[in-house]
Amino acid sequence: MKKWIQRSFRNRIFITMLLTALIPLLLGGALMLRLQVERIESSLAQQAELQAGVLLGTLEHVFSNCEQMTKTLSGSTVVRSALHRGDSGSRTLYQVLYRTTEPLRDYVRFDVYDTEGLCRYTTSTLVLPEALDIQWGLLPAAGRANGLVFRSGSRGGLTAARAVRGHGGELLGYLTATIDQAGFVRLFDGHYSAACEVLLLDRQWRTVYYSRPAQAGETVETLRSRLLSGQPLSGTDGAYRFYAAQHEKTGFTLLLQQPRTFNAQVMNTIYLISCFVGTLCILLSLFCTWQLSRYLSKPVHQLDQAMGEVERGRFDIRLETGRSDELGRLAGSFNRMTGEYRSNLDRSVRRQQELNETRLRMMQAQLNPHFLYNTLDTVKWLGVAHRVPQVAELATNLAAILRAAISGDEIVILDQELDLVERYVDIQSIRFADRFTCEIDVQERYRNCLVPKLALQPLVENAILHGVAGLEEGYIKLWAEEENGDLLLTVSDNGPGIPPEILERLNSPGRRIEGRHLGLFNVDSIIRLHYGQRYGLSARSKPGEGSRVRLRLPMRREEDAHAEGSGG
Amino acid sequence: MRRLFLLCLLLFLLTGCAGETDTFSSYAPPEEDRLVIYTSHKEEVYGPIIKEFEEQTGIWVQMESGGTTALLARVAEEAEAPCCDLFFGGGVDSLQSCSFLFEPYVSPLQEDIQPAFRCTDGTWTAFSFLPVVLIYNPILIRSNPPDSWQSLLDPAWRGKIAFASPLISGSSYTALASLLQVLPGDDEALLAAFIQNLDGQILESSSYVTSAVADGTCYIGAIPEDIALQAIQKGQDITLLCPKEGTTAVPDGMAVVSGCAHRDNARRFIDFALGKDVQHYLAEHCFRRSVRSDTGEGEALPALDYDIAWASEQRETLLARWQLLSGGGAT
Repeated sequence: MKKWIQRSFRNRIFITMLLTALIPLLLGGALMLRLQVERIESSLAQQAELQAGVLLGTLEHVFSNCEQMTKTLSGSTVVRSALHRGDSGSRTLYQVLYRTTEPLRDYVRFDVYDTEGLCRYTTSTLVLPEALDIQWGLLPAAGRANGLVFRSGSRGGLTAARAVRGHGGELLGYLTATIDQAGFVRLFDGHYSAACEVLLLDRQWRTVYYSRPAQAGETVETLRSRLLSGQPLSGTDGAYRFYAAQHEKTGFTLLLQQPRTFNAQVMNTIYLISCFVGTLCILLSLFCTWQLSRYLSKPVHQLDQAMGEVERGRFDIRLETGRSDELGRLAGSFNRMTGEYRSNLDRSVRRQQELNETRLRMMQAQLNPHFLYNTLDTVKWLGVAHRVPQVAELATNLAAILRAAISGDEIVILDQELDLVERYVDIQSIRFADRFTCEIDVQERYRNCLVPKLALQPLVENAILHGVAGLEEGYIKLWAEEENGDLLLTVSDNGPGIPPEILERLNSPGRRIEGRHLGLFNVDSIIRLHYGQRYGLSARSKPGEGSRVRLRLPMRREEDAHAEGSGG
Repeated sequence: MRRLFLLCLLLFLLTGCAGETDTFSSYAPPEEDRLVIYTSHKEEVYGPIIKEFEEQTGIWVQMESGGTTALLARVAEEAEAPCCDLFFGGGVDSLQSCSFLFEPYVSPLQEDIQPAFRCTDGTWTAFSFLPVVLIYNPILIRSNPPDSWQSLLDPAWRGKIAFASPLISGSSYTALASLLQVLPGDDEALLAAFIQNLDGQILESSSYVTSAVADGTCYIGAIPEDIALQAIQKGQDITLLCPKEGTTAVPDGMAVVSGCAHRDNARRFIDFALGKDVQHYLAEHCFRRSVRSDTGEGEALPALDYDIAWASEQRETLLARWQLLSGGGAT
């Protein structure tokens, strides 16, 4: 992965953009979801706690009123005397009973039992309640206690009993207050949200009331065993949340069972949807960042590819971006750079070719010089032996020229070159029977300047062969001068001059001419190749007024060359 | 590392910091107010008694109900770390045969118990007793009703006897042991003869015995008295009679589990259950006979000198024999 990221500019852009797009999105989403769930749950919890408090308040109100009413009734002389007498239809007792219990009768049924456990009076408008066991359960408990005893019924509901005693403390009967299922429904109705369920449990968590009577036994048993084993009341599935409030006096516990809005199933759905949306976001981000990274990295990629092509030697590559920003300008620069590079390379190749060709021509121009040299030596000694001094001189000069020609040096000092010119002139003087004179006028300070080997000889040759050859009194002058730091070597003659078309070609560098004046062109080429285009050969001539051929060379001396040589 | 951290953060946010604490531990009773009872009594019997006990003492009772044999096996399994404090129900012969599971307790109310139901070593305390009685269908049997243990071996009733498997029902084992003790002859031969006379008709629970007799599937049966009385009260047409040789009155007992967590509460329950109120309630509402000598039995029983010790000793052997002969017990 890391390698993949580092491999390309695009991948870096892609990953960076993807992360910057995705992380805040996903984190924010998750955080919002969590916060929202927390907020709703806490508000629901608050609501439930409030409702549980209200329900407990209602219960407390009813219980304390029951306490109060039974106390009033048990202290009432009417009740005592009626029970004492064993009356079962006392109108006065009913009046007292109804009047006292009036505020609670919607929820609570009040009964009066005699000592045998038979119900004598009741506020129930229906049937007379069954007899109660006076040896078992509530009534003996009430007899033992001094006050109202609250007990859950075996099948739910609640009955509270108080013993009625005479003035002497003798037991006269019992007063009971009963709240049945319907009574609790009326009591609690409207005090809690419809989605919730209410449970009222006695001290040992046996059912008193459950708003879903059918499931009372099972639910309460489960809750009780969870409480005793220390498990959460909501169990493992957590479909409900419980809120408890305890009635202090009776020890009864009121539980509000609230269905959890975000139970496991809902949360699963929410997570599923979140995951789906998240995946969608990821895919969209992937697509967008992939596209965007491509748009951003494309020019760089192209540039990279083009560079690779250039490295492989393709210089004709060009980048077409059509953009005007930095990347566009960069592409333009690249195009210019490769163009420049290409033309430079072309030039250098051409130069090398030219140099090679020139060398080849010069080589071709040379016969086997050693053979010639040896032959010339033989000729010289033959001339001496036969006392023909001209032949000996010719052979000596020619040999000297040849020696110079075959020597390996490319560059020689002017003095040597002038020596060659003098020998050449001597040879030609014999040939032309002294019909011309050659004057060499070079000051001593130029004599150690460096010049290409055999650069002057072709000029003199040209002046002799094409200048003074046909004259009776030919005159050739060779002189050196300095101009702007350059060395100028000029050969002039008084011959018929150079024809204009050749003159024009001579003065336009780079042009080739075959045959006549080949030597001059060669000299020009050699100088230009050695020293650059600024230097070379130039000619001036007017028909009938002679010609002047001039070499322009950089002013270099032997010591400079040595310094250069050792430096380079 | 950083990526891991981010991942953790994300997970933390997603799974949420919802640490919920609705164990309501403040509502749960403290350890000293708890009691765990394993009972083989029916809910109708133990329910009101437990409720009254809770009301009077404030102790929270946790009940586990089941068959005597299964519950005893469970207590044996948990012997290392007992969950159960008190074993409530089951014939004292069964309890005696597992005496190693229980620790002795002699209630201060021991003196009030009929001498026959007192345990000598205190392993168990008798709670109530139920004589095994014979029942028959009065429509199918008009004359000469079966009136003795001998009738159960009478080939005339072959395949017509309703009898629960003693492997499952403790009271059935008591009936079987009574039969073997009462009748003369070799026990194994008697057992074989009886199983042969059942002709493969073995019921899964003693409560099926009454319905089998009432609906005419069987003609006669042997069951504890309370089941017969309850069935009669519910309107099933059966007639109850005591065998003329006399009947066994093996009491069912209570025993404190050895090494239990709430020993004091278990003892308190035993004292409570032996109290007059409960004993009276038993006779009045549960068709069971009180073990107290002062509650006064309505009807005298032809008593049988039932050897509880023998019954407990022979239990394993007899049951193995039964299983062998009946071919795997109830099906």
